[in-house]
Amino acid sequence: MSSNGISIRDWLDSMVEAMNELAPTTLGFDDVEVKEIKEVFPVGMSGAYIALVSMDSSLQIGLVSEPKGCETLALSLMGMEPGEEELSEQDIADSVGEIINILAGMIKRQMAKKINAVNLGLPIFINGHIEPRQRQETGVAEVKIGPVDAQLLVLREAE
Amino acid sequence: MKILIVDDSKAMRMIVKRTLRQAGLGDHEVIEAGNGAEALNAISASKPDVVLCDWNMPEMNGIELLEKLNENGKKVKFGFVTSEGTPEMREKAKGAGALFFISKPFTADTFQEALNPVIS
Repeated sequence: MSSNGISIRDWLDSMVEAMNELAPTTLGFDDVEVKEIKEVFPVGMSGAYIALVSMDSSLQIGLVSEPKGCETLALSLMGMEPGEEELSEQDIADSVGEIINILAGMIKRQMAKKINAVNLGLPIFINGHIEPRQRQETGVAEVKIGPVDAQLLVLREAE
Repeated sequence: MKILIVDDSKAMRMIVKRTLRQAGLGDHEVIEAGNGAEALNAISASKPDVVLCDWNMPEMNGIELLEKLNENGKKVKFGFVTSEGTPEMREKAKGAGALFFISKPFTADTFQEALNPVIS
C-alpha cells in the first residue's frame, strides 16, 4: 500500500497523536492544543524535516516554529529552563531534529498496519520555508506545545 | 562498569545520560560515539561493557554496527535505543544478538526494566 492511500488529514492526526504522547514524556509539557488545520505552509519559520520513504512513495513531515520557539523546544528536550544555558544554532538544529526524528518513529509505528516497509531518512533543519510545487499536497496543523506556537507539516506528491 | 552511548544527536546522548542517572545507573562511566564507525573505534579502544545504540545514523547505522561486531567476534552487551521499533526491526535486532530494544520516547522506568537484567 502506498502512503497515498492515507489522507493528509490522517497523517496530521497521527503527528498530533504522537506529539501528544511526546510532549509530556520528553518535553515536559502537559498538553498540545490544536488551533487550526489548514493547507498553506507557513513562511518565516525555522524547523526540522524528515522523510518517510516506502518502495513506491515518499512523504516529508516537519516541525517548525519561530526561532524562539525552536530554542524553547530544544531546551525542553534537554530538560533545561529558558535562560539556563545559551544554546548554539547547531544545538537547536540537533534538538529539533531529534524531536522530529522521534515523532517520525512514533508515526511509523502507528502506521505500520497500513503501510509496509517505511524507512526514515535523517532529519534536516531549515532556516526558511519550503515552497511546495503545484503537484504536491500539503497539510498543516497549527499547534501550541506547552508555551510554544508551532506547526506540524506534511508534504507529499499528489496522486 | 563502562557504558557506550551511540547516537548521532548530541542532544539525545545527553538525554540518555540523564535518563541513566534517573534510573539509578549514574554511577557507571559513560563514553560516547556519534555513529557506528566511531563506535567501532571506541569499542576497540575503550572496551565498554554495555552499548546503548541508536538505529538510524549516518555512515554506519546501529544494526550494521552490531553485525560488524559479530563478524569481528567482539563480545559486548548490546541494545538499541531508537525512535523506530517495528516488530520486524525488533526481530532483526534480536536475531543479531541485541539484548534489549528501547523505543523513544522512553522513561527512567523503561531504562531500569531493560538495563537492570543486563547490568546485573
